[in-house]
Amino acid sequence: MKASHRLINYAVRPAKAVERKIACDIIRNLEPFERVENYRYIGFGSIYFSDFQLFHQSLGISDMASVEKDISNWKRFEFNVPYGCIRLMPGHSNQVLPTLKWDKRCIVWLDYECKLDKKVLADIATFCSRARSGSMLFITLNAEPERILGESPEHQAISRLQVLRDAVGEDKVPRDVKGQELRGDDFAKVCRRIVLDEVAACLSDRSGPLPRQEKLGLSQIAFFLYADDAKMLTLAGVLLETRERALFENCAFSRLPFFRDGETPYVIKAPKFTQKELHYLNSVLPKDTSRCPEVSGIPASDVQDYALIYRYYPSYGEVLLG
Amino acid sequence: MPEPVTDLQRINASPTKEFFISMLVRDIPLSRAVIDLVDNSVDGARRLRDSGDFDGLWVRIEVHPTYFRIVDNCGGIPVALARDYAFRFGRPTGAPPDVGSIGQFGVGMKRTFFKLGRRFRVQSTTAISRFTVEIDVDEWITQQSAEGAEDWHFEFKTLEENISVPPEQQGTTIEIERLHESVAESFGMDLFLNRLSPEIALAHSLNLQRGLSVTLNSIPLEYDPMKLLRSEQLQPAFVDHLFDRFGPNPVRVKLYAGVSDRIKEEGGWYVFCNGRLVVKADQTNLTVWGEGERVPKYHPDFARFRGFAFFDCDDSSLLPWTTTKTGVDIDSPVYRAVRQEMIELTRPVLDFLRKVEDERKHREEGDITDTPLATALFTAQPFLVEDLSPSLTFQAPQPPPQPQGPRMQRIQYRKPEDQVEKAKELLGVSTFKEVGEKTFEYYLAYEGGDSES
Repeated sequence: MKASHRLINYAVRPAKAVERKIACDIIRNLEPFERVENYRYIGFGSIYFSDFQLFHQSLGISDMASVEKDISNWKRFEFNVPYGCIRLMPGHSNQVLPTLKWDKRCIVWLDYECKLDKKVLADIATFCSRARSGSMLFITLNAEPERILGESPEHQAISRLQVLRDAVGEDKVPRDVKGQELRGDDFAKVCRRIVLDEVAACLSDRSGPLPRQEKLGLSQIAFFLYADDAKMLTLAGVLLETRERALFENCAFSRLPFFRDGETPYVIKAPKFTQKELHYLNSVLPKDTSRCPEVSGIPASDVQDYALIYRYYPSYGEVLLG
Repeated sequence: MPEPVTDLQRINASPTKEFFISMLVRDIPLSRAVIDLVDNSVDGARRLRDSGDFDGLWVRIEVHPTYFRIVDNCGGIPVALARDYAFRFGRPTGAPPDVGSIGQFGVGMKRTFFKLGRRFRVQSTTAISRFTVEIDVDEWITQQSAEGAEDWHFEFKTLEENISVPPEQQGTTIEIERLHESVAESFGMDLFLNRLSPEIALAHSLNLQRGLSVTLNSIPLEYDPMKLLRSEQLQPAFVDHLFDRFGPNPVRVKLYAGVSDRIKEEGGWYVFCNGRLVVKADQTNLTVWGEGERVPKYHPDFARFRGFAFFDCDDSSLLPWTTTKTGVDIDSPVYRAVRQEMIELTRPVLDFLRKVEDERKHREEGDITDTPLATALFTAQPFLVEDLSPSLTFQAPQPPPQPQGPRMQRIQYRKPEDQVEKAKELLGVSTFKEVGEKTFEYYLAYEGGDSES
């Protein structure tokens, strides 16, 4: 299998780019906990380091660690580190995360390409056992339902359930989940539930001997679905001690238009336009989306979708450098 | 108004003596029952020496087919403690915490009496008191109060209070006679003694390390102090925690994880409560093993792994041990939280040990000549865990990056010997490895087109 960075240039996936900028806005709201630039960012930078560049430039975060499992191409990763403040951590996240010190608040983006599995749950458990209150977790997962060619819908459902059980472990799949639910967006909802169950179990263990005021929970603030290629989900939340609830309220995440604290996702759609169309649309936005500008030939739904995320929409062009 | 309770409405739920004498004893192996009495002596030592320095204190255990005796100079049992708590079955709520004690549940000492024999005698002397209790179990069973109810009391045979006793006379002697047949049989076997001795030593290794001297039939117990390898490159993890929401007595937890000698049976986690080992070299999910992708199941490659968890609290009821002190109470909130931490500390050590194993294989296969990880292991020195300084995570050297090159795969197959020999001859090579390589290259050269690129 080819490494994913050889298949996709992360910077030019529009929905992903939009999500990254939305994440940036979400992170900015952490300010009531402490200056965002004092946070540590832990992510999977690959060779593009798109998230690292954005968060360093826009948020001023300079304590950054990129976990990189592809040790065989180490030199290339080192070469591409865009800023001196980014530490490269060799090894799989399962190996690296337990070696980190977790001595300050952090923003962790577990930006997987893969589907939910035991390794993902292990990283989540590490975050929940170690991270400090006020830390933020993003988890991105492939949420494309399994497709087994040539199987009847009935068998498809059975196979999907079995694949999920094998991937996360029999005991992690809620008993009321049926194979029929593991399709479309519902699969993402089941993944979200399994992730949050794991979070709850770990935090219950960790909180057991702590006084009531110090007990920990994860407050969900975002649940995105998007698809540049495969359907992906991103779940985000803030780890919180009971006594810091007021700080969390001050963050006012719920005022953000993409705030989601339940199982209904916010679907990021990044419709494709020409430069000319973009310029025109931008020139009339922001506007009440119900009265969106009419452009001949462009589907109204695309315009509606764009109106929601136009501030985050990436601009691409061919540039001659150097 | 509630109806008056008539006799017909009452259900008898009172305990029977028989339950304590015949049933409770089944929960504990004989050797562990003996260790319960050593715990009793250690509790005396703790009352006597707050500092934890037990130098000069001793416990002498005598195990014979006809009697069992344990004698100590650990300060004796205060009369008030004996009168109200030490001989009661179970510890009443409101009992003053016996500071940092090992005896907590109010079962250990009595359970051992009943487990071993039908007659016991306890003689104990403190600086200001002296008492003797002598019980014939068969008589005690039939003992009834004036109203004909079961009478559970023991009585002091002798009792002196407000006296002054010189230190050399202070201590406790417990003797048990009329041993049960199977107990007498075990006590007569060398094999039992050979096993009991290291078991006591291990359970109390920390107390032996603190200077307590324990002999079994006059032979001093030997112990191996707990050590982890350390060097500039290799640093065991050591973290401590204080859980203080349970009232005036916080639970202190110290966790160590690192590497030591390669002994398969000794790899794993060791759990201590108030200095008493309750879980030895655990290799199961009771501690950390087989926890999804976080920690794999125990494997001989991890034989060098050692983890030590010390739980200490003046109120020993807050510690996560079971009444037999042979396991941990996995539902204890403190243990559940600490276990998560143990899992986190374990993983980096295992990753290092795996890399050491990979390095060994690569060396054997001739892929590398340098073995920096093995060198780091062999040049590190063993350190007593209590001398280690805090280090949030396990530190170990990383293997040098593998030389860049194509990812390699191994092919293995079997063919009749005469055919292989023939190929060897035709190819003009001397090893089977070369036969494999040359025939593969030959095939690709003719059939593989531009596969060399």
